[in-house]
Amino acid sequence: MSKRQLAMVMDLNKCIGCQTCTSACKTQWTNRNGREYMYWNNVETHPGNGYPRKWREAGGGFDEAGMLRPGRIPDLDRDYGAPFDLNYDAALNPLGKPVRGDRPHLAPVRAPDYAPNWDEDQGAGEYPNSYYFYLPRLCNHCTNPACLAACPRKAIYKREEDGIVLIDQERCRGYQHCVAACPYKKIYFNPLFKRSEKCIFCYPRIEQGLAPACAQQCVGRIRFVGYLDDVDGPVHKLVAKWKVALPLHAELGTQPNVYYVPPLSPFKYDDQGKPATERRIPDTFLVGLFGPRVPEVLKTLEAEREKKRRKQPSELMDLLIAYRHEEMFKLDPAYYRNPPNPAASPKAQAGDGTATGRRRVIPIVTAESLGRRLENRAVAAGDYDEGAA
Amino acid sequence: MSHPRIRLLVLAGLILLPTAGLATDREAPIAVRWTAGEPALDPLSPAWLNLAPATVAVYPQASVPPAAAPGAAATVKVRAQYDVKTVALHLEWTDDKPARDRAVGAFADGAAVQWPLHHGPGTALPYVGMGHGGAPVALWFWRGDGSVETLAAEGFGSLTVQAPDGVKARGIWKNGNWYVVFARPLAAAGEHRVSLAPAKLGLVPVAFAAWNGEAGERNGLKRLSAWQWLRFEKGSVDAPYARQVSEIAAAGDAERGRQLMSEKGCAACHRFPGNPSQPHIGPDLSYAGGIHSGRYLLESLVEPSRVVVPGKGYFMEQDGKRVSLMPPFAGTETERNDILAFLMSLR
Repeated sequence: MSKRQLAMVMDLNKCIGCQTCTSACKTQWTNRNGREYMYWNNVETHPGNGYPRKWREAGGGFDEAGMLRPGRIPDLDRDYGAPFDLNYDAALNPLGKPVRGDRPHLAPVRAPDYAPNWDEDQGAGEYPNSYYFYLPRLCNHCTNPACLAACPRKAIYKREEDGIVLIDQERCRGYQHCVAACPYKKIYFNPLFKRSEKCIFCYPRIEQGLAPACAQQCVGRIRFVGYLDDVDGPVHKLVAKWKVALPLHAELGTQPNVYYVPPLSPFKYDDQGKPATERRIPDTFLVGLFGPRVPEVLKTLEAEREKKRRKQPSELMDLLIAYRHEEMFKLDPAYYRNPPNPAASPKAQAGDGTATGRRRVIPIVTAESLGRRLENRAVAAGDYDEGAA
Repeated sequence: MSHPRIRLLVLAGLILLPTAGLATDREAPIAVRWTAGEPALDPLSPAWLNLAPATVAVYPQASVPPAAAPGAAATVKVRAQYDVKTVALHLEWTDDKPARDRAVGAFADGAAVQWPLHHGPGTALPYVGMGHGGAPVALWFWRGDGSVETLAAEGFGSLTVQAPDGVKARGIWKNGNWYVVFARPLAAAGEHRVSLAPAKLGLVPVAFAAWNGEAGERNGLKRLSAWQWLRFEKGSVDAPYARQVSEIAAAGDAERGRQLMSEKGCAACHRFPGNPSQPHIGPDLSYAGGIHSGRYLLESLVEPSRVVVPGKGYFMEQDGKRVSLMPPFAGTETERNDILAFLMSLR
């Protein structure tokens, strides 16, 4: 177990499904070099098949005895819905080649089987009681990762400082046991480099005191980031103090570190058109995702909302409203510069006695220079010439 | 086989067990033919196909998870040649459909040649499953996409790519068979590479493995052989070493051994054919006789911690050393021989 654990809390009551987090992640990490089909962060509609398709039925994780459950590797086209090409040349004839007859309509070259958000906003239920909500997903940076347990090469490790789960690209040989073992299907095989890759919790940003790109860019302000043991941090308050944030599919035994505040929903209409006592999103569905504490959490949320309506103070609601975006993140860049115990700094054992350094630092802009860039309109407009700034 | 000393070795070490229908002769070393010119890299060259092959049985890897699907043994036909500078091995095995690329959920066919880094008179062989602590192996690994790597390992999970040592490989799939040639200069300098000097040592241990990518095989999901012996045609062999490497005769009663497996408690931890419970506390013994020599199996009975199979839960750490959870065999010598005979029959 790592010394500290970074965690994220997402308030599903506020997610509007805008995919800004997805775009932030994609442009930062996965828009090229064999990663085109990967969404380290995605937002899917539930009830729904999700991404990759039917990941909840694809196995992985641990059984009750703590043994790895078998899992399957999703199919690139049928399950991930890899990007497909359009017939631009034939349909648009950009080079103005002489052509006979009608040009074809612009269409995919290959009929797509699936894509992320294939069933977006479909949900379930009958009008007027239809329902759905958005579920943003990323690697859960589990305390007991099934991917790590499944790797026969010990290529996957948890960082000692903060529990971020990473794949050592020098040890990975692309066996894809981790892809099958992760019950969230959040590890992806890179067909170009022939190795597996995953969300890195934007650790180069974390080490500079910046929230991961998905959280930083979240316009709905649903994401809280911090250390679970930091009693002053928002994550600790939501998870441990108010106990309103629940892990996804905790029953699979991986001890995920991404938590969700389950969504409240309006009451159903009865056949007279009057509000009934049942909520539109059935508790049973939410319990299936977030476990047996869902009804209790929904009660707490409702009670605290009621306080706020009556103009009474509510620490929980103030937290969830997130008046100031920067208060949603409590990080600690100094912690990475001065590890409290150098002996514990991350030299992990790989294989039999082969010690490899398990700390990689990617150079990245500092918080100050990022601020300077954002203040500069030319830079913000896409002119990245630092000299002009 | 025409070499008189080798014939002696074969006679001395005959296994007295009925083998399960497989026409392989574990005792016969694989002849490495001398050629005047460099051995051909083309796997379909008549210089290869006209050579009589040795047939080597390969068994599903079952000792540690992830384990290959259980099944019958397959065979790899091995031919070998060398000249003054180069050694070349030609492997031929059946595969209905070639799998060449690695992609999401797709794996390439592959073949590997494994060499102990240290071998020769007085040196014990490494554990056949990629060596063990202190007994490293060097590997040449070819994949259906045409790539070849030099690797080294010191037990499961420790496989590490090495700088190229000059090994070349070429594979051709034709009519339901893969034909692959590995060729490399005999001598190689540097750490973690095998170096061969047939004039000094003409008997060299080697093991083979094959992967069927189409069936999802990769890493431990594979078929592997026991340690085999390459006999360089013009190399020198000293008689004591030949005796050291010869297989021991299974003198016991295998059927009695099968019963003793239950009576002595082996069945509580090990899987093997005929064991109704399917425990996973120690290595699966389903193919123990196929991939291990009698010497290794005997050693494992008498001194289980000498080589500890590094499977999860198979051992504990004591004073920084891995200690097998299995107690040394405590029974009569007859009982031990019966169990040994049974284990050797598992192939």
